[in-house]
Amino acid sequence: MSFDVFEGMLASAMLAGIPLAYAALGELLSERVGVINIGIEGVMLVGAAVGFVIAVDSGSTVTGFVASAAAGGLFAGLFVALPIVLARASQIVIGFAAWFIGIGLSAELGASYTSSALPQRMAEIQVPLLRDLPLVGKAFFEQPWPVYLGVAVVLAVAFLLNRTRHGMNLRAIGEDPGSAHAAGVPVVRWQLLYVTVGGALMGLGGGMLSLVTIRHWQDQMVAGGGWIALALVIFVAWRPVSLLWGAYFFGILLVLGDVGQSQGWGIPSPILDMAPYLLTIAVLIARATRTRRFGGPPTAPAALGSVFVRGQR
Amino acid sequence: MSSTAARSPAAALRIAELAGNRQLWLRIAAIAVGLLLGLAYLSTQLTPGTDLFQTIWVSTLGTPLGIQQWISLATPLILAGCAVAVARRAGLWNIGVDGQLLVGAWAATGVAFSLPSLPGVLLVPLMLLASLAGGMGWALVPALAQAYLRVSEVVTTLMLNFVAYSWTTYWITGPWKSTEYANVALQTKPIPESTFLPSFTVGGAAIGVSFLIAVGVVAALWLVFRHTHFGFRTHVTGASEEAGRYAGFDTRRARFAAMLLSGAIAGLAGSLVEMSTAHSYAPSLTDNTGYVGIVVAILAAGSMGGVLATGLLLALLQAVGSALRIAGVTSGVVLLLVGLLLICASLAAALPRDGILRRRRRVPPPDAEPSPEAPR
Amino acid sequence: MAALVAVVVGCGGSDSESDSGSSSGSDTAADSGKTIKMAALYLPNLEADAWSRAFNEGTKAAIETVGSDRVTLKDVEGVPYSNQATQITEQLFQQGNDLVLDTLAAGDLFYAACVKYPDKACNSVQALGDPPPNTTGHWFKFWESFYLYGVAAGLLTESDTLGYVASFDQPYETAQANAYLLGCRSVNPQCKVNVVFINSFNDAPKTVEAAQTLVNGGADVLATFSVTPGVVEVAERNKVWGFSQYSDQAEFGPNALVTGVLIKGAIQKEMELVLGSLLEDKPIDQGPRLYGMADGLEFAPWGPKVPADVQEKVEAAKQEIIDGKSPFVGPLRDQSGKVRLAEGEELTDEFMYEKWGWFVEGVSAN
Repeated sequence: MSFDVFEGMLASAMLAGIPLAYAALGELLSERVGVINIGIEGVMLVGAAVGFVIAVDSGSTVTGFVASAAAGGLFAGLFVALPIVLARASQIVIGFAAWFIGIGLSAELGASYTSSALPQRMAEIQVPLLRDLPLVGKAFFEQPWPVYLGVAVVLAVAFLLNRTRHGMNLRAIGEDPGSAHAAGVPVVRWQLLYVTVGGALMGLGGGMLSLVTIRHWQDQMVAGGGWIALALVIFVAWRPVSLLWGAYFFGILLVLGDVGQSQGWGIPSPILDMAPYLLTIAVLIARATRTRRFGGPPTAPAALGSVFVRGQR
Repeated sequence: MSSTAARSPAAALRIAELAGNRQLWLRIAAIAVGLLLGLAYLSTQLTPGTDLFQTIWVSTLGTPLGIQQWISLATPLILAGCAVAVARRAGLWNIGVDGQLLVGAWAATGVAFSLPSLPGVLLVPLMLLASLAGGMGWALVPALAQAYLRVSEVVTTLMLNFVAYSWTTYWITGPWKSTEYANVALQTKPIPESTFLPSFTVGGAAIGVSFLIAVGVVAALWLVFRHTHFGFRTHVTGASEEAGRYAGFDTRRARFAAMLLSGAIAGLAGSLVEMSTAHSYAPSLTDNTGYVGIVVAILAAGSMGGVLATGLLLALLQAVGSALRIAGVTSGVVLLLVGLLLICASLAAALPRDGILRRRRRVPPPDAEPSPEAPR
Repeated sequence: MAALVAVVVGCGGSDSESDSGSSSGSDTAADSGKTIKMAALYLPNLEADAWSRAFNEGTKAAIETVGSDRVTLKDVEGVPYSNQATQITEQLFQQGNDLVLDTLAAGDLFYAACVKYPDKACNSVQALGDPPPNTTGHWFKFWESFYLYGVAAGLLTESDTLGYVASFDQPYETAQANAYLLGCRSVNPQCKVNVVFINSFNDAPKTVEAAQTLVNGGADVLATFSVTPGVVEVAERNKVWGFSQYSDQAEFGPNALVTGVLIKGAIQKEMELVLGSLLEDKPIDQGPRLYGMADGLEFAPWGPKVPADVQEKVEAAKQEIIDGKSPFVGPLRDQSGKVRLAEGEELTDEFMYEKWGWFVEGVSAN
């Protein structure tokens, strides 16, 4: 593989991976309070569409990015948090519903914007000296600012979850909502809040796709990224900091197939297309095998997916 | 009610069934409410001058062609619904029906292309068997990983859908490439005419034999889950893992087997679509059947007979969707409608648990097992 | 990736001709007062896709020519590649439409409906396979436009490496990639073409990733068969050149855009022919008719940064093609270096339409 191609791949993987990090972080928060939101794809699509529409209409890409967070939060709050947390509806079924509605809604919203271009690009942050490093300079030190914001948000959430009392209480909801409730944690309110915040992060992931990575609107443009984000949370064993390299690894996987084709590896392109998905499965199985054989700290929130009803524990 | 809770899995099941029956009317009401909401919205979206009900009637139940198309849409949906429902019985989600369907059709096509001179009476059963095996094979890894390693089947089955689409593309643009049929809609050359499934005419509408097969599958599954030990084990495992273990079942094996059966049914759907309508191998065979199948199973609340009804209902919705497109309804609306339906149905299922009806069914675990293992 | 397309239907709508299911049957009167009810099938929403828009505009223009009082057009959007395409077509015939236009290139899915209504007429884009007798067809000589892209690219490139974001590994893509290379070689013998298949026509992330990978590999002129503007956008971002497809994408690449092929004119010609034959009851050849630069394919306005001498040379090459001089002549070698077309021999349009199964030496694709 030529040097330039490798260097370029490392840079592209960042743009492909960070949207996944945003979305997976949102899912992680949601799951930490015990709610699986499998409608990530739908939430991302809504974020991507609203972000793009607002960016074009307002003439400011940054405004669009903010709007994508608001849209994702609102959408997840209304269609995921309320039915799951208040009405205790099936998390999987509601996730599906949110996915369907997200596809339909985003298609409606974005339909007349497919031939619109963004008003301006997101500014790049260029770290002096470091950006001239061979191989990694472009990938890590010369990227649009939402990339670095993503890293910052992941670190902030990691700090919140692991180093603060608030985070400890938050995690307690996902482990044992009954005890958390008994200890005075407002379980229902926090579940509503963090599923919504998680939705906002997914919205940002979608917004980053439409505003930074792809920069135009196309129906279904998230193209499975939401499902990869769902796998990513399991892949990093619910540890936010690991999301950074996990998402980057998936970013590389997504780009690798094209590299293989352009470098003439001689593997048919559809087979290369399978790689990210097959590797995901392989990694999940390998992780489970290892945990099974050698044990390890508990990873998933223990009460993930279960229904919390006040006074029933 | 919880104090009378069952000491044995069988009794636990009966309680669950009773609770299910009570919910039936609520569910039907919820579906009706969802549909009405949708229709109300749709009526605001039509091109002026269109009679909504006339449009729907003419293209669905009102004409032989409408009925014929409805049944043809329903066939794969019923099977996909069965596939999802079987997995649900064991407490699993098979999101991978789309992929299993494609691979089932792929296996059937492989048989047809390698033995084209075989007479139809032999080739058709071989293709059906191959599709069962193909779908089962595609479900094998998720089934093993779920049952024995607790790897989330939601993720693995879904990922394998993406793999299956690429797999299909690979075969159509690779080994089975045919320049004569290389149009933008990917497809292979047609399968031998001897393998086209016949249809019979009822009142002007041609009903495919494949529909009868689908109904047969529903009936068979109903019997299996009502009268066989396999069905019972699966059901108990799905209702409560602890109860299953308490009763001495190998619950892992039960989950594994249910997932394989689910995949096999999905594979069968693939070959039936190919042999009855498409007549060639193509990615369009799925038509998102797997995802709609999930809706079918959810609305049926896991009842096999219910799958027949909700499969027909969703097919009707699809047919209505086609009619509305012709009438100029804006995009995505029917998708929104399905999402709404799902929310209504799941709220209806959730509400009786507490709140309005003040009913709780909760089977205390027979042994002091901690909370179920979470996916890893 | 196309997995997640509209789950039940993505229906569509517009303020097109309204006409619910009144069934009047086909009008058999052959006199000059004959009118035609026509419907067109589109994969996505009309406004969301340049390909579909081109068909819509071309058809409307043709209707203007043959008499807008004699033809009504119904647009049916959101038709999926599946059994549903067959069913919708049948419904349209049942509701009294005389002609259905398939813009999806749905192949057998479309023919399956046409074959049941032998008195009605069908027109299908691409029309490969075995269309029934009532189905006429057409396709575009994109190999000509890609050859001209190649000429422009050969003059613009500094790295002598072109990138092509292709859809599926199918004969039409082989022809297009080869033509791109041959055009480039005609002005720049060092030229080579790198191809990345994205196995989709509209997957936005893959289009962008593939284009970026090609640029990373040294390509400084990009072309695509994807309807999304991703390639021009990536070209703009990387300060290289890019061709649009089916629409003018100057907005996405004010500096990067070279030009792009437009198909509206060709569609107009085809529909004038088809509608005319139905109105006058004069049968036409089943086709498929292949439309090239001489019969309706056009280029979008040149990008503002394209040097005038490049424009002139490409226009001259275009004129030669319009005048009937084929640039697809031997000797041609395949990737292994074997001579596949001898000196002096010429490739036929029919061959390039459906049979070109090998890449020319200089194209890197697998």
